[in-house]
Amino acid sequence: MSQGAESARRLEIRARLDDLGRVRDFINEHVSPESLGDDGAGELLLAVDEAVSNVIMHGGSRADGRIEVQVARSPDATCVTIRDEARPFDPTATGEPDLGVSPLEREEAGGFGLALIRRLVDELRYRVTEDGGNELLLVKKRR
Amino acid sequence: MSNPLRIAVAEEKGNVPVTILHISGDLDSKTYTDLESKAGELIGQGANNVLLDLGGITFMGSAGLRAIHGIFKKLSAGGAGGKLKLANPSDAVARIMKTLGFDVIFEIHATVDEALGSF
Repeated sequence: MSQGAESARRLEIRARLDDLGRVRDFINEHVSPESLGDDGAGELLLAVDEAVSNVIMHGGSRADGRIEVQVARSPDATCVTIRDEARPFDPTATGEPDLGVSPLEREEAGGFGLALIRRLVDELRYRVTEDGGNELLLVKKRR
Repeated sequence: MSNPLRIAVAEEKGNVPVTILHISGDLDSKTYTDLESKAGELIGQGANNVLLDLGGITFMGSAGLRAIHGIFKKLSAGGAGGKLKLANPSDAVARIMKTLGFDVIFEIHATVDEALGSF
């Protein structure tokens, strides 16, 4: 976690869509609009929802697999770390969809989640954890 | 606090019959199929002019756009010149649509009344 973090909070959920609402409640509770502004806090909430949704829907996790979400705030930024047990997948290494093409010209309108995440946060970092899981760090800087 | 998705259906007879879906709650990766299914059911029953009232949506991710896109495709596939319009998006919903380029694809009105008058 980033140096100088003032506080860190942690939530663990099962890798199932039923738990998505709990993730949003957790982020709403611990991400401060005072530091990020209403827009910034809303963007971070959306990015985290997209990232966790991707893990659940496309990560191949077992329904009883676990996802950990951690929030750490520093004076300069809010960092959210998402760890999961799904198969290794680096979302920072995927190609950027061509958003200049009409979404309606695509066969599927899915695949926007990663593009959204990139646009909503200031920094996105990925690593494979020591036990072979995924760790994604989303950083939203204070405005 | 997360909010369950609710969809209330209404019919308006203006210039043409319009089926309105008043959507409230969280439209996310879990619930978007509920919206797509409900709209598909109505289109199957003959709804041809569909208006989505987005005003009650408390959270929407990219899955919500997937649902809206699915509804658009169903109406287009009907071959009866079906129309889909959107109304009353919050700032947050309008922003995600703009970010992903959907704001120039769909006809979005500030209010339900304005949207109804445009059919």
